[in-house]
Amino acid sequence: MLTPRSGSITPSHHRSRPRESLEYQCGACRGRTSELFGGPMYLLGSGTDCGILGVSPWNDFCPRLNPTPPIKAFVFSEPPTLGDSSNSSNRVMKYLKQGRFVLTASRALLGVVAQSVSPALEFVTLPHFRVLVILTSAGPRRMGSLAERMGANSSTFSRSTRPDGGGWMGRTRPEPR
Amino acid sequence: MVAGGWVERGQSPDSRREVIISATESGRALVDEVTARRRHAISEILSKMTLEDQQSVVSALEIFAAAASEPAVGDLLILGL
Repeated sequence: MLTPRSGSITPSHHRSRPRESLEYQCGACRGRTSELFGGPMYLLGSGTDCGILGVSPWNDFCPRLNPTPPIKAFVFSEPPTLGDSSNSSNRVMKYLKQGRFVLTASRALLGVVAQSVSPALEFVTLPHFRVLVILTSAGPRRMGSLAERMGANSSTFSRSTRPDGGGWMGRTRPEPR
Repeated sequence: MVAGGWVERGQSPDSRREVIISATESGRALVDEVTARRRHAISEILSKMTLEDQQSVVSALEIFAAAASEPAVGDLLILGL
């Protein structure tokens, strides 16, 4: 069950602005919407014309602002409950859970990435490692095209491959004069 | 990177003025090690699942990758991918 955790009225001068901000907590995972979505949920009025719950970023869900919302708009005039499979709060819950699982999975994959690359970073910097990735996957390249793929200015980039300036060991402080 | 022995500069066969950069043997080895570590870590994770779950993860990730499409080079650079 989704239960409101805190509610606050925010001043509104326009009908389409969030009038009421409510934070919900998932009864199953105990996650609050601000944790799951990085922001509170907004209740836009209570009528049917614009009675739309947005989840931060709330305009994702407002059909007025986003013609293709990730899930269909739904109306919450009271704290939504689970149980009815046809009701909109079930879709919300499903969406909340999906968001949480995908976030968790993405963190796990990033952990794998970080672990795999970290021993190499004892030898080269991240941008230099990327140069090696490009060179090993695409083969030898002209300086210009390599710089282009790195999104760097060609002359700056060229310097970074030379032994003397901004070399492979990273930046060094200039000698004090 | 040249001084570190990770890349080498060479002359382009087309133009004497053009510089060609290629990865050295140790540069390639560095990338290969990272890739191998990543593959190993991912298969370790997958091996904890049932065959059925492995298949659903793979198909879900295929769908995810297709929907996300190729990330921008600049974004990948942040993580060294």
